[in-house]
Amino acid sequence: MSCQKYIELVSAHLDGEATEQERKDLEAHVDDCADCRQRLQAARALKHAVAGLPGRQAPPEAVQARVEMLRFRARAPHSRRGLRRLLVGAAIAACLLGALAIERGLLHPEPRLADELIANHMKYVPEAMPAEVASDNPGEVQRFFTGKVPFDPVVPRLPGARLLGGRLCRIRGDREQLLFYERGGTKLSLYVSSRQRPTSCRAKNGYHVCGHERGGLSWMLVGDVAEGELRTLLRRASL
Amino acid sequence: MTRDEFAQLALSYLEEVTAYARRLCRTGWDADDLVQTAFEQGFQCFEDLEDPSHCRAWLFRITRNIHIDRMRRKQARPELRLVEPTDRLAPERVVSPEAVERLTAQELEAALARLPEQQREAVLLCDLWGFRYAEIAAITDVPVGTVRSRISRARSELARILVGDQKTPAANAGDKS
Repeated sequence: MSCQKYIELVSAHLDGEATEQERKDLEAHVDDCADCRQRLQAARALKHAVAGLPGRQAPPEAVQARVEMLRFRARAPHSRRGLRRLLVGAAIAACLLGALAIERGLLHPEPRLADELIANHMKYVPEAMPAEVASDNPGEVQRFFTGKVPFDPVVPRLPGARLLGGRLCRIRGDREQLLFYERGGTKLSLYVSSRQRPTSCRAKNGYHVCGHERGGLSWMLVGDVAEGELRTLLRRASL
Repeated sequence: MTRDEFAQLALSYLEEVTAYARRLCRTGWDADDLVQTAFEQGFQCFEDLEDPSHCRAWLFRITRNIHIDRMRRKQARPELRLVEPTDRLAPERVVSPEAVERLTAQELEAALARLPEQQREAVLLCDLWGFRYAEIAAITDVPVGTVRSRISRARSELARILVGDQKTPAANAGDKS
């Protein structure tokens, strides 16, 4: 029964929330009490075990895209409930359309994919999220992606553009390479995927995204430059 | 804090908030809707967030509050137990650390699922997401002392479950659903 008052102390001590005096009292007690020593060890193991459970979970792409777009949205005049319904409806529609597109293997231009890539570009390029590998050395950047994407990674050289680095990204459930470049003061994002993507171009908010196929991989280049310029960069890119 | 600064910070917690929402809700749809609504609300009132270092706990609190509001509107589903099953510390069995280390994730999840809601929530916020007691108190809107008791009781209860004693009042209360 004398151990009862130490049970809560064991827990607080493990969490670093016991006072100095409580810690001393507990340590003195644990020195003499085998049960409480074991209790402390078991509680520590339990804490460690719970900490090992997954505490992060990637949301579905549609949810992620919608949440990320909130940053660009001004305070909405809709009621909260109305906006929520709008968001939920849009997310459901995006999921259904995405699932349909995947199921049918549609390859015509996908406005939502383009919007998602442009939104990602707008997110990363202002350096809101740093590159996971920052280097102008293609070999170094390529090594970073090795084993992280489900294909042999590539780091193309774009004429007149300087490689800045890259990061792993997930587009519609697929792990892809996202490479950053700078050309004449403009930032460019290049997505490389093993998934077939459209080879057309699309524009939004002054940005263009153009697709290209090379070596069985899809390249999608995004930037606030003219469509023709993106096409030329993709065509003249070298490995 | 600017909107962009808030966005950068808040979005870095998206996956944790998603995992939290998945534990709060019964279905993935509900959880996804909860995450969207929580971030929408966060973006609407981020100017109220005085200290960016509190952003993570603040998002968890928003998520939890929206969830509770929804549950209240649905007349409190049975899985949401807001009443502590007992205030006293029941006698605890001592579980061996080796037995804990041998636990699979599934066994541990099953044991956690049998805890009373408030205890499970407190111990997960503490051990899984690493919140301090004061932060958990802010998220769950209870005094720090209550958080401390809940976490201690959760660990005692888990120990009891793991040694196979399911006959105590607290354990039985945790089984109700």
